[in-house]
Amino acid sequence: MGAGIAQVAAQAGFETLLYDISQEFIDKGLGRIRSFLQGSRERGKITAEQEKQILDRLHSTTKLETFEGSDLIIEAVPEKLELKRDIFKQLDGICGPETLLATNTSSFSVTAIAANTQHPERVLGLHFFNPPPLMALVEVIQGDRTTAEAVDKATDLMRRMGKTPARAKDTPGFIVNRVARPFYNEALRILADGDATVETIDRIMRLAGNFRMGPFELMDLIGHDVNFAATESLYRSFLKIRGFAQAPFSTKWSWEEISEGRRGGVFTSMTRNSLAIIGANRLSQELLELSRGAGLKAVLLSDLAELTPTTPVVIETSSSHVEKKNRFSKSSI
Amino acid sequence: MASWTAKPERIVGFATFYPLEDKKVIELAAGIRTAESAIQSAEQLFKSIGKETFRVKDTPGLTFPRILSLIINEAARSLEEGVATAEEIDVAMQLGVNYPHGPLRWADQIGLDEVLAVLEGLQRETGDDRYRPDAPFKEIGHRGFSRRDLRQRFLFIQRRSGETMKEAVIVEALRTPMGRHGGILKDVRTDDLGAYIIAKLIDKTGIDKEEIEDVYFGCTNQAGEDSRNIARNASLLAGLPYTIPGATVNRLCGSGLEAINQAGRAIQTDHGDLFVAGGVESMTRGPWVMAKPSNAFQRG
Repeated sequence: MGAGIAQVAAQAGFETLLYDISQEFIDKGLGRIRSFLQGSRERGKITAEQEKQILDRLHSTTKLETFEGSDLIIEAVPEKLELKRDIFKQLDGICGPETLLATNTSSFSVTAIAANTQHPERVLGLHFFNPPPLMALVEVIQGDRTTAEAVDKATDLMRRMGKTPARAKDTPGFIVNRVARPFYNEALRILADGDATVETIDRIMRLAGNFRMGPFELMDLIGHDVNFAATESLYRSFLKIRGFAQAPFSTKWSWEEISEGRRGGVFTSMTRNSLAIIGANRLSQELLELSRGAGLKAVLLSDLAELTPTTPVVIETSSSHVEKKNRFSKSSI
Repeated sequence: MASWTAKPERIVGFATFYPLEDKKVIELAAGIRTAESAIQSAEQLFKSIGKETFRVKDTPGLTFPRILSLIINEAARSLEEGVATAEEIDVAMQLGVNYPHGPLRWADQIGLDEVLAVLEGLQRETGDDRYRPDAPFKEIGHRGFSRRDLRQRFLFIQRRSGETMKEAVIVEALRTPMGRHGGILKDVRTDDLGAYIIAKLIDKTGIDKEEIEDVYFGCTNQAGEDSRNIARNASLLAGLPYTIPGATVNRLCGSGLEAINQAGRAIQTDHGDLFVAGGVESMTRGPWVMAKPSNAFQRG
């Protein structure tokens, strides 16, 4: 996310310094920014000249000391409290008290992160949303010891970076992660109670509630591990009040995802209206016509190699035992 | 509910929130003894008004109202705890997770009594504390606010939490022809003239008359046909319900403008969302004014 935030800053005309622990990670981040900008240029959103200027404003370092004299430093390291604390302690020593130190945390208290610093009054939260170049919102979080001036200054900087700031106090989940919790959790509960199916709930929320995506589609997109962690963090932070308890099922799915290291596909694979048919025979042809007639997105594949890993439903029609075995054993692709 | 009826097989539940206009889907629920034919006719009925239906199980709030009520409850709780202002909570949810509306304004639009009903139903049926309505809802339940008060509940909190003023806009403007003194309009009563334009305005905008908070009219003569609060008399003649009040203001030549300014200020300070404001005057029909005798049998 750090690269995305750096891109936003550089696009808004700020001289931007991107830090990571190794040049390899920096190059990865810069590579993402380059391909994003290239896409913007190809779609005519920015000129080649602007692209060059933005990239020229981006500098990189593997030494925290280089940040000395900066106006604002935004930290977006992995969500580990000790790691964040350590970085803030170091930055606190490197930068004078006029430098604003911000954390992009979504699950820790800003006050806790600022606890080790000499100047907690300039430490605050700037919570960006993914992907930062596209999402307008930034939650500006005032820690218990953050001054109003620091918050005003950061709010103003966010506006100048083209973002819409929303100020919030340092409370678990801030605004969005907290208020959005029932969208996922209550949907899971309705499903667990057997009151409605995944597809029904998603469609109702889209067509009756006018939400852009249903809760299950969205959970598939953001990842059940991420969603699980967000609920878990709120539950713990609110001292285990019932309102934030995990819904049944979520544990199972999130662990499946964590162990397999994959994102999404848990629900949409059950619901998405598309399928692939494998096998060159009359039955395949008829299935294809029937599915298309029913409004499904169906493709006929002659070879397993053409299959994309995300295809939700695959129908295999061969009558040969050997062929079946051959195909199913390769189904991991 | 079906258990109260003699023919429970014809009772079908449905859940949605006001307004229906933006809902493409309505959820239907069958009770234990609801007949299949009853569900089917309900489905047909909604289909005929252009709504798709989904069958879900009979639980408080079904799906959409249940999930949304909990989101609103959490937003209300955050507001009461002072996490952020109402405006910021709404903006954050719209821009951070692409919600179609901010949850607090959404609640004001739906009516807090509706949201409260879903939360209380869930709490009653499940016994689960997670559905406990937050403070502002309970206050509503206990005080028995009217619907109009309910709608503004979060706006009040918003004002308290120091949000900037609302913006007032002019939705539509109309004017009658102007006549010369003793000219073509000499036979039209002043109150009828005012009523005519109010009625046309409502026709043209298609607004719901019940939604009007107040009618402000400027008038300088205020004697004879335009006396005794012409704003009120013209509204009644225009067919506005008697429940919509009216007030007449006088700043002589600036009276109509004053009425519009007053309505604008009322909107900015959250005293209402929709006002009719204007002015009316007929110099032709203004009565002669003669002083009354100072006592019953004037001498000389």
